[in-house]
Amino acid sequence: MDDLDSIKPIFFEECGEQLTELERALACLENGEAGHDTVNAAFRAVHSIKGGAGSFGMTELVRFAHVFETALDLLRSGKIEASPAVLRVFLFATDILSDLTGAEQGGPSVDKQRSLECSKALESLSEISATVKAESEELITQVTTEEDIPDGFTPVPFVFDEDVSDKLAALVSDEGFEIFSETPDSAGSAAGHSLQADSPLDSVTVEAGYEKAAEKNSSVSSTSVKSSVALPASIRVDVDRIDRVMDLVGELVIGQSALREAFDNSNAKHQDEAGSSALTDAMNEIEQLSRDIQDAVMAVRAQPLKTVFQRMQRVVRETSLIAHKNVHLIIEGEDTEVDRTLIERLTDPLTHMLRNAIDHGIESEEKRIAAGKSPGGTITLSAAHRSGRIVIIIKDDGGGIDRRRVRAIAEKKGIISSDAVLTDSDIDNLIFSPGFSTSETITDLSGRGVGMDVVKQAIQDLGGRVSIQSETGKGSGFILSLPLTLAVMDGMLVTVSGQILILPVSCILETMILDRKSIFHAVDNVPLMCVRGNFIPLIEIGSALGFSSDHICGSEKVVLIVEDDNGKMTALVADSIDGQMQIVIKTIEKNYRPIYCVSAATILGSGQVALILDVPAVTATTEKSGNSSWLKDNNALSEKFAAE
Amino acid sequence: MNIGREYTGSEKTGKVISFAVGDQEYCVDILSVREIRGWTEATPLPGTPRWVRGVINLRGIILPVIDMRVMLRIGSERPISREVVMVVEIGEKISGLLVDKVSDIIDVEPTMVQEVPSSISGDTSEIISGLIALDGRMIGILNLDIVAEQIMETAV
Repeated sequence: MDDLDSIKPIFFEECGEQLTELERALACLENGEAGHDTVNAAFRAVHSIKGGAGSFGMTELVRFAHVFETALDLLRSGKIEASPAVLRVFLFATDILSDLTGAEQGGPSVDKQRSLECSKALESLSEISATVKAESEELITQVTTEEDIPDGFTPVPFVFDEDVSDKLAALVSDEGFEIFSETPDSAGSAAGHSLQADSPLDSVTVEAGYEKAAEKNSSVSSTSVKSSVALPASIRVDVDRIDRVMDLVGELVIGQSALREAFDNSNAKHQDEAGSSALTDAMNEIEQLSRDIQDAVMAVRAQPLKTVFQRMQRVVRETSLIAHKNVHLIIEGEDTEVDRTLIERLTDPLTHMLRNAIDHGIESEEKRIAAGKSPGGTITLSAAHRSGRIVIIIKDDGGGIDRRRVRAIAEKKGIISSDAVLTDSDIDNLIFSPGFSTSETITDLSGRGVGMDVVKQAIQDLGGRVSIQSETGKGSGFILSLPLTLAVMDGMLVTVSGQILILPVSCILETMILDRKSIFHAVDNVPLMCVRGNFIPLIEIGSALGFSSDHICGSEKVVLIVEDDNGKMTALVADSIDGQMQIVIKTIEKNYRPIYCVSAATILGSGQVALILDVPAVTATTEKSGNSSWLKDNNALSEKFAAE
Repeated sequence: MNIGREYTGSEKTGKVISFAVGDQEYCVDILSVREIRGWTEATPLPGTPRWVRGVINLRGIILPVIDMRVMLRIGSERPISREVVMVVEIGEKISGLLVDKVSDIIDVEPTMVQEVPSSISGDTSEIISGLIALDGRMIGILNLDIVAEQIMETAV
């Protein structure tokens, strides 16, 4: 049982991939661009899940996958057409299948009523229900032999680590499985399994043949898998290993800058000596190589946005059902690759923005017809690389932002004063204000206390920015611009009380020399700075961190104007600005704990550790809710998302 | 009283590394020591206890350095040049202990370990889990778990 448990995560990981594949195949069918291959792909996906679930004894999942598979088989054999009604049932089934796998992983259990309803819908696609039910009861121990593979059906190879294959071998020997281990040569094969040295892949093909079924000769299920197709050679690698390589590359970059510094210093001393040009060339060569290695490792960590984008199909499907709107999601650029850490953290903000677009963006059917639009709305979710960043756009063809209403609500909620002069874009950005929700009645979808401000915060936490483009009557677009990775960033080096600190360049609006004439003090001696007629809070970084008790009196200090999550500006005072460089982000928490007003650290060319300032935390120190307020805020935020 | 944690076990012989802090001597289980290195300037951290000198870079890993003179309340005047950092593993985390010098490696028999007298009391009493008498010296067995607990305190 322990052995089985240890390979379960691999199964779930594959389930995720299969579900993505299934979702994509169905999306293709929906757009009418599908051939026989697409139907096959969908069938294979469901089939693989069923096969795996069977060996883990997940009865519920097997039963449902079987019904689903049977229905897909009808489509495959041309007995039913891929009509919109049929596809709706299949999409519904995909959601249930995904929920069921989720439940097996310890997620929320699935509403029995819904899954039953879905099974019925699937079964009603033909008159097969009676026979299927009987068969599915026996599925766990059911089998097929190789001869039963129908024509046109392609077996799927599984690739496992050698130690996993050993465990599998031990496991399945009692169950009537057989394992074919394919290695480049017979050496080093997993413990005495029969060998077929016909594939260059060091892979293990699991022949999931259950004995009993050989006798029963089931025509529906064919669980046999055997590698016969040339697959792109790929391996499954533990993420930790890649992260380790990434760390080492970070070291290399740091070592590199130390070497460059030392080199430049000695070069300045011995300018005329022979051989220095050869050294310079070698130095440049090494520099170029280390940049190339960095790119190569980043490419390994990169994943296509497909995984998160395909999940959005379901979000749109479910949301539009609840909102009684007919909304179609078009996905573009799903093959755009970004660092895997980003992918994980994009799901929540994207989900929220799509819900918002359906709930607030797309008008009701009647309104759309009245405006001369098609009754169904369209949302386009697209991604592309643009000058070293990734840009994700969520565009709807709805009514655009109703600025009069937005303004009225913001006034009512006290976000702006009634005589404020605002541009259209200022008004659009009001929807990112905390506590703003245009939904007059709290709907099931948006407006559950989590507003667009949380989305903005989440994107900013990733080092990104959100902007809006809206045209009345034509729709609105939300543009997310994100860094390609969370492992490196552009940092501004500043000196504070003799220590070098780093500020993320992305949050700095401008820098200037501190002019004491522009500083004023209000009640309690709170310092404010006047920037082009606006009074903004002034914080000396050193005293905020407790490094020095200096008051703002020193000469020639510098001011960095930063923008916080809500677009609120703050002036931060430092002793000097020392330049800008690309830095490798290192965690302090791993060996210690979260540090007040510090988000992480980096290592400078000298080997010295420099702290990266947590700018939102520093600006929050002006709010009189005690020093720990930033921590609470952060927790509240993550709780909000967790609750979603 | 947790004596066994700091060396291989109270029933068996274990090796410890002893080090000097001021005129006092302490030791930790040799298996928890990753390496010993010279002092490099630490980057101070805001909002941490006085005994956390800051963080240093150990081949790309960032770890806190604990000034044992401050934590053990042994005066703060120090001969800068002789300071060393003992890099120790505490659970899954790595920390650096800033000490004056590393003295030697000692084989410890269970019978050599004495209980800490009750005259050492208060919140620092648990930081040593036992005493070793050797050649007229007294060596305190440092309880690294308590050290780890104390650096998690908020600013003092």
